[in-house]
Amino acid sequence: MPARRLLRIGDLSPADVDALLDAALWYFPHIAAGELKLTTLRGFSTLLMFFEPSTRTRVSFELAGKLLGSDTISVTSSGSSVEKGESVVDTAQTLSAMGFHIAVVRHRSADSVELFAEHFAGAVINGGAGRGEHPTQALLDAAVLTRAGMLEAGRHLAIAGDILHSRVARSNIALLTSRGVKVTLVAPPPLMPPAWRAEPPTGTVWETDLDRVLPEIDAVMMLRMQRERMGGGMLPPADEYSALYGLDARRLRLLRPDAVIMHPGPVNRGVEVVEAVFADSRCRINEQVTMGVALRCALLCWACGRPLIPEEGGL
Amino acid sequence: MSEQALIIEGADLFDGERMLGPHTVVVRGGVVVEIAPATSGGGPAPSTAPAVREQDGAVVIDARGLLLTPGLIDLHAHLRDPGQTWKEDIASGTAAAAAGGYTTVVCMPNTVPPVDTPAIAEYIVSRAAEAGRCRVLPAGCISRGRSGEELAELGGLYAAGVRLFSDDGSDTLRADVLLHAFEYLSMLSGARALIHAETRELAGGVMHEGSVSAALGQPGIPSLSEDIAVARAVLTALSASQPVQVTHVSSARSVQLVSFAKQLASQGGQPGLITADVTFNHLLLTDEAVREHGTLAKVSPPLRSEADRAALLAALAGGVFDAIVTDHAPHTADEKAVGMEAAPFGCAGFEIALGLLLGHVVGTPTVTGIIRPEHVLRLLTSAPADILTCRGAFARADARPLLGQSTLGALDARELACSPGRIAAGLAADLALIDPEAEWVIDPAQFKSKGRNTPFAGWTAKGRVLLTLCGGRITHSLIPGV
Repeated sequence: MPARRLLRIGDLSPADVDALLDAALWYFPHIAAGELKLTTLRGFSTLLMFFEPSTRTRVSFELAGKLLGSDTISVTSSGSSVEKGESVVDTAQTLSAMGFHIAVVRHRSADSVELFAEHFAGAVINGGAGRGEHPTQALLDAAVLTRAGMLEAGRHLAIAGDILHSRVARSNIALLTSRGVKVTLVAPPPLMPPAWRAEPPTGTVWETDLDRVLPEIDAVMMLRMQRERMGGGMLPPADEYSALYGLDARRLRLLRPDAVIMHPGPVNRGVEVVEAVFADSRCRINEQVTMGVALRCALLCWACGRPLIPEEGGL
Repeated sequence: MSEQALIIEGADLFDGERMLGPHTVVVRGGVVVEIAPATSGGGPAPSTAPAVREQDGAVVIDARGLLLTPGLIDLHAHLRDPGQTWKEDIASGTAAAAAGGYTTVVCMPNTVPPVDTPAIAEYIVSRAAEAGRCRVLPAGCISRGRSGEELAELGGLYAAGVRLFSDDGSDTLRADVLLHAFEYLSMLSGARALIHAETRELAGGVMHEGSVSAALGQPGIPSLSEDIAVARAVLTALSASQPVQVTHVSSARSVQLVSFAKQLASQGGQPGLITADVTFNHLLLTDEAVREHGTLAKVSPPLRSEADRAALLAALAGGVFDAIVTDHAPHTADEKAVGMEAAPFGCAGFEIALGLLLGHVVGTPTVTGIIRPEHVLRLLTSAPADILTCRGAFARADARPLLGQSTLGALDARELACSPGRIAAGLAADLALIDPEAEWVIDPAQFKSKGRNTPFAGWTAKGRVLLTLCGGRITHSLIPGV
């Protein structure tokens, strides 16, 4: 079997996505209950190569690998030879030579995960590539939406915030529109790629006014607003961003009672979402974190060509 | 505040668009309530002050031979308040504006501190309500501290009533900051950027780079400094679909660039996207003025060559400009008495702009025709009003605003309190009554402005503002008994 690659959502067939989501939903209650311990991946070694900081993605992959019995090693730029200036290609070749079966790679440049994959013999999963894609986040978001009954044609979801710099938005657009979900991108003009202002990606529309969108949607995905982008050369200061694009108590009332609120994290509390969001029954932000481990259990099995769910179906 | 009814009888009426001949205009409760053609024809301009009488509790002014225009609107002035009130303050600046016939002034944000937060804009608005003699609309900064590095609180300023955004005094330094500011402003319905076009690396001099600067040995500012920046501003405006006014255009090449940009905007279905204004200083003077007047003729952008001035006059006659501004920039005598390199830029203008325009610009032949009085008056009244309120030729074609009322409500958006720039029944009585034939010699010592810095001392102006009304309130009067 050739080494599997998940660099972008488009690398997966619809059947692959269905299987991964089904499996994630199988793992989810076990992760939530903290009762999973399997041997599916015994004998498989997993490398977590993170050239850029991460909490959720790195820890959830590491935990998933360990719960499935894989030997998991985590490497970050700091403390590795990347600090000495070793290139992505040399790093990939070096780690490939150690015989790892899977590499999960994050890099600040959109093309570097692919570059790594070209020089790595084992399976490669994109753990977040610059402004490019973050396919595992989109898959776990889809699993949360599936659980909420929202991943179906005709549903309407908004992605709000810094679309321009967001790999989460790009992967979600690809996955959601492929399922017939209508996606509204909500952002002020400086945070939207100019070409998408003129013509948004197929299946999406662009809106600048969050208030107009909120009453119409089934789900909203708030994106992290990087603090250094507010009050810089791109946007006015943070309090103005909150006034125009923050999910606050007033805007919570605009959302439908059965709507779903999501955020990929990490959250700037008080900027794009206020504290009250976390207490709201519609908020699924913590469920996204748990689902992240569940989805990544399924994905590591997929990468190794193993059954996504244990064959006996039990523990 | 005089809420007394006022009847202006038999004045020649300029309604903001056209000269309409003798009319009688009745003002009551701060509003023009009636306009009727005058029964008796206009006589010659009175050699003495117009006669005033009481009739049924109203003051009646015999205004035969006088000219009644909408209160003038200045889109570009410096009131120096807060922070530099030895140069000017809101009380003195608006008194000077009223004396010049102005009823609305947009004050530039290069105060100390600058108008980069709503609190400073609100200070100016409330101080003007308390001590002002005209309507004052603060312009807001594009960038924080006018640094050109970070965006100001653009939405917050908009909510405080700001509609023109400018880093005037200089240009916005970084091209990316300018682009993002324009993109962001495009969400705020009715917001326009006002661009002081200048390329910092080329603007280190003190006067126009030309034969006079060469002869005087003064460091020059080439037209190129402005031309590059005009191109940057208009191209950025077209890219972001954000209305932009190029202010105080001074060079022939910049006129061409503005004309071309206006064509592109019209072809792109966005007429009114690009607007431009010119100061009366640049219409009247060239760099030769520096020889005679030294620092009093040091303005930014600099007074340029005769060829540039001819291009500005032709552009005025040809309809390239959408407003004439004063760029009223008061400084003290001490500040100007320090030599060309150290002196600040700018000259005072509220009290002399109209008289110099009527006396020395109207009637000038240009390659595009003679400059007519109604053209000049329109650029001082209805045209700037339409720019501020996005009406007429400056209406946006947007199907709907990018930010709706609900979201803007979160910003507490307010109505714009601008002079109507027109005279019609039902509109606010913002009016100027002018003796159009009166000739007078400019004497800065008589200015109400604290700034007496002008190169026009001793010039003969034509047309004297006898009475200014703002919302029906008399804010300036040379008529005994009124």
